[in-house]
Amino acid sequence: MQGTDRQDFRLRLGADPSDPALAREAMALGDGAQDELRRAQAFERALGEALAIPVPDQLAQRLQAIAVQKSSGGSAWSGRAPWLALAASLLLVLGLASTIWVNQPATASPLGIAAVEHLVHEPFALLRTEIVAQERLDGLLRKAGLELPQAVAVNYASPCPVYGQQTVHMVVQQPSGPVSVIYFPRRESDALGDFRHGPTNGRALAYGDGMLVLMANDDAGIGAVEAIWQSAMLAGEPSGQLIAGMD
Amino acid sequence: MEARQRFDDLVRTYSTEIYRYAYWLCRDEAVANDLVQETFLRAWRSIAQLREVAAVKAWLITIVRREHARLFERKRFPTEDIDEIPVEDDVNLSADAQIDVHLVRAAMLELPDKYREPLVMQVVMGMSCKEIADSLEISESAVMTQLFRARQKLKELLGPGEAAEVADHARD
Repeated sequence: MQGTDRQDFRLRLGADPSDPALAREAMALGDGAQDELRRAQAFERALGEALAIPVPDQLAQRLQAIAVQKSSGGSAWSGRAPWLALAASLLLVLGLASTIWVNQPATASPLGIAAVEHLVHEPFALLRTEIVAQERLDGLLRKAGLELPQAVAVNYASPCPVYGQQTVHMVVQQPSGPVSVIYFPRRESDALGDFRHGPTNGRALAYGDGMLVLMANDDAGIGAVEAIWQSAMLAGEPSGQLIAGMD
Repeated sequence: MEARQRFDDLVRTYSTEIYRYAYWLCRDEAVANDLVQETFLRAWRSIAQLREVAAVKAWLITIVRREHARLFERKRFPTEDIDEIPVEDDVNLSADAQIDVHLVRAAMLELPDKYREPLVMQVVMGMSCKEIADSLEISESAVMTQLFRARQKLKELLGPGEAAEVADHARD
């Protein structure tokens, strides 16, 4: 009887160590059971601490802003059609993956191919819809030697090694889907112009002291993002000599 | 105005738990953010119909799970690298405890979905076995079995020494 009780106690202890009835049962079963209970509850406290991951700053305020936006008829990209954006992103990811798996012949330069293939390693980047804090983006670009006179909005920004060098990998959400942007600092502009790798369209531009590679499955998105980045650079460079696409 | 107040209360009460639940479900911060946003957007749209306070948590959980399933049903993404698990903001923990937290989080990421999800529901959301059973649409005894196995598996992943050490830190 004692053995069955002990087994049942252990099962319940493993399933729900916070059950207050266990303390009474542990007392009835003796010292060994009380030790087991103490150990299980200590582990439970550690587990609780571990699962309490940090919550993003201003989460509640941002969520409460949803009501304000919707009440006033306003809309944000992420609130308007998030799943359309996600679906488009997934299609792009799948397309990119199939490009590599099927090993189609490339028409892009080696750098262009490396840029496209890098996107597969960070599929979540294409799903990001929050705007990256301007200080973070400025910091990453500054580290890469690029100071933009005018702010640009991106939904993802991360330092990434691509084609043997440190780059800044960014994503900009557009109505036609996400546009990936990779800045290659201090890169000779030897492979400029439009390219295609599998279903992905790309455009390589000379930008600052390096290259900007824009990628998407839609030219309209690339054109829109290129215009934004050109405008950001031209805001501080009236002569506009730094932007040069090679069509 | 009343709807706004109710929605604000809902956000204040549940946003932290729901974010953590979403994170452990998808194991990615940005996707968790999107899931939470979509969940509360739906809550706002249905705020007039949300009368039963007791059912709100289960209702929010259902939305998160449904949206997560829609996102992942066709494609499994790689999970976040262990080094990317957020640990730096645990200001209430000692340096030693942070190591333990890191180990447990890493082990949690390796736990199979069928074990991780009920465990998160219980530990993060404070749900009873009955509530978890209702949400997952399985029997209460099946939930208890999964929770038992989840903790066993977690301890296996941590290794006997690490599991005991984690418990010792928590007991101190």
